[in-house]
Amino acid sequence: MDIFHSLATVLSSPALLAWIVAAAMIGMTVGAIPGLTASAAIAMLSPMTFYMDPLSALAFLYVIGKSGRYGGSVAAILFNTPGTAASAATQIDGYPLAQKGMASKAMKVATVSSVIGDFTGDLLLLLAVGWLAAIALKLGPPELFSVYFVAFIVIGSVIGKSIVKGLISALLGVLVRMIGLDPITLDNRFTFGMFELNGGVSLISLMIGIFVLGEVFAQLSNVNRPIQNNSPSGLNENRALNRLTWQEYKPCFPHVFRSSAIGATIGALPGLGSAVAAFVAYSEGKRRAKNPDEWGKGALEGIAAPEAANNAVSGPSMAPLLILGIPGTTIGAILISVFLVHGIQIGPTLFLTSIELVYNLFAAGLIGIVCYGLIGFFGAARLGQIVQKIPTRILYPLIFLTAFVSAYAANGSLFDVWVMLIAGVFGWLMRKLDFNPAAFIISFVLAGGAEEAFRQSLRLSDAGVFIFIERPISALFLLVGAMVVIVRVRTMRRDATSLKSDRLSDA
Amino acid sequence: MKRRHTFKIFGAAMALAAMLASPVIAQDWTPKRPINLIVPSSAGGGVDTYGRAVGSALQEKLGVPVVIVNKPGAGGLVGSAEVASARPDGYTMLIAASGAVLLGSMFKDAPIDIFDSFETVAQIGDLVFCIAVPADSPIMTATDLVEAAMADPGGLRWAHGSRGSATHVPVQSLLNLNGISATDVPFQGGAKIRAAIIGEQVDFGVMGIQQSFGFENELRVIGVFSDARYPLRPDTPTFDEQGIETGNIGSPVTLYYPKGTPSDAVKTISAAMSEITAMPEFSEALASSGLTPKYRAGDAADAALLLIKEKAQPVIDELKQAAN
Repeated sequence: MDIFHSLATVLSSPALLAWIVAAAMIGMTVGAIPGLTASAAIAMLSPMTFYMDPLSALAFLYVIGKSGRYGGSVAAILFNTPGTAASAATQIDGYPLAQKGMASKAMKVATVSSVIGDFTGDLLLLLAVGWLAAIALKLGPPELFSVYFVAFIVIGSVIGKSIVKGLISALLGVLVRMIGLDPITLDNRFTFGMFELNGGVSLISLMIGIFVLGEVFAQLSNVNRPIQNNSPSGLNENRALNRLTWQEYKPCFPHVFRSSAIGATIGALPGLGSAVAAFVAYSEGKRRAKNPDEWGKGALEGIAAPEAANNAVSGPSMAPLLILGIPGTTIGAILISVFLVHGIQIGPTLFLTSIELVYNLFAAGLIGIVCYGLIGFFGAARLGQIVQKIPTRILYPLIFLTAFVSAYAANGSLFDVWVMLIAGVFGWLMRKLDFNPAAFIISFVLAGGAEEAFRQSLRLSDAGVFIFIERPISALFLLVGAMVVIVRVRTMRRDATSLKSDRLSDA
Repeated sequence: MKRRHTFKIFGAAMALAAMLASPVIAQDWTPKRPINLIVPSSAGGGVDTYGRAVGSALQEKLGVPVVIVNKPGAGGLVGSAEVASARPDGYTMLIAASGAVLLGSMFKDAPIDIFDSFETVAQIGDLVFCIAVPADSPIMTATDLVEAAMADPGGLRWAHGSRGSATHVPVQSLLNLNGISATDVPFQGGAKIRAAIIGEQVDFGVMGIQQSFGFENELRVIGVFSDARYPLRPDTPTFDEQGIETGNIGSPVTLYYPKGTPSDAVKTISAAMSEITAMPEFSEALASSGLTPKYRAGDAADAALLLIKEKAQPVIDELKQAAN
């Protein structure tokens, strides 16, 4: 097996191991700081990795993604604020446990579940990826477009509380992506005569603006406060109460495995990501639980289910990224640019040109899981204490400065800094007016590839749009998309009727 | 008489001095701080490989660091425009696929003119393009390709990098000169073109010949756009020798200084590159990426590029007309 060879390669390189450990710690820390996400950290750190060797650079960012998804649980449990959107479901049972003085126990459950979920996702990826890559060689623009189509459908159906604002956010993402040269005819679109816009809006600047500056602006209103004050009982807790026993964790296992499967499936679909996986896994877990009444009041299973799912996303989300070049998550979109910077072209031929790098990256991911697992199991509570003490008036100015450096360093372009600033104001407004920044970014990420694939397909086709039905694999994906729409409409109707009956019973 | 004699001696001395001086002046310019070498494309591409090889060789020769700065965007025009407007002090240099930049600026309005905005230092390499077909394709030779296109006008689909680019124009030139037509499909980047050929999405595609290396089982190169066989692929025939006229449009890789840079700096670097391109270590560094060195001094490099411009002009004019 290639992976054992790769594990040996990675383990025998001290420098690489150091990067992985650093990534595990950075990921956990940014995950634990409310408002900062792993993708924001990756966007800010990616220019730095341009100067590292390709494997270290990719492993570093990949592991930050993994441990960041996990780190969010620390804030969710301790501060009742999700560190990342992916850990919002963890909060439901995590905070009640913390209130009972069992924060450490909750964090241990989160750690173990995240590790198991992450491992399961990575194993599925390893088993499937070679086989998928062989098929992917036969996939062309029509099939790619159909995959993008499904991705857009599923984003549309999970877009958040306000459907209208969610859709507008997604449309804006598509619109901003259209800026630049037309991919086929090279006509200028929305460039307003600015030469710098010919290449389009830089993803890294846009992301730093929306996710980092937007957050910093939002934090300006509560300057002198430390990150969170509402931590229960400080963390001076009873050790015995916080020991996690095998008997206690045993009932979590069915949930962990189910959630891992859910997370892995959602991860393999482009466009959804960890937050969706965590919520689907939580509600599915609660529905099937033997003790549904305890969920929401501090059930350990209620932490295990979403945490396993949000980390199981990590591995499988690499499949469409590496094999088809379709970024399923914002982290994936940045990883694409890092691959490109290091001269590695992703897509089906990646498995012909750089198979070793791919397996080494997977091996680094597995080691990264072990790292954040160990650090988290023994140190999550300590980390929570530290994060709690950082005054925002020191933290946010530092982040503000780093944002400028990163936006400039990515392409060495002052224009990109302006893009970031404008995106920052835009991101702040979106937050303020309850629009959906995540939907905006993921639409931006997907729209470029989708348009290109659609227009290439039309040029390849002798029969216009029918090429998407003529090709069996493409037709299959379109069918999946149509089914998702039907299921969605049905549940919406059912929800509407049940809502109506609720109202009737109220009356 | 005596005076005349003195004059003669003086003249001879001047001539001798001038003769001696030219190499002396060339060595005269010694850089005192790091030189920025701008690569107007992302790391990892052909030009970037050249840039890094040149950077490390020049660094050794000049004794100051040569810093590679990637400034991608708009097919090389963003980085090129930046160098064109940089201070002409010898410390900012551009390495560009001059053919690609030229074609880009001919096809779309650009803020620079490759002939007017720079001092040409030297050509140091050449990007050579080729046409490849899927391994199972019935098309075996360049003649097969022309016949297949003739039998089905506009029916063949072919992949290139983007319209008006250094991959598009050579093939369009081939199609025009042979009176055939095919439908182009732009794919961004060599790897995507390669995947489209291997996956039989298209009937043929164009790429830098170095990008076919390592894919001998998946695709077949049927012709090279060059007047001579590629040194690293002596068994692959050119279009010329198969009797198919193409214009052989390629893209030289050239070093440029901003207009107005002191000529001793230009000469020093040009002389250094003349030596470097002859060094076996330099060739080896390039060969590992499938590339080869090719030296032309400033004037010769400009002349070669002008020839490309003449051959590409009708193709570009037609493309522009079709777009409007």
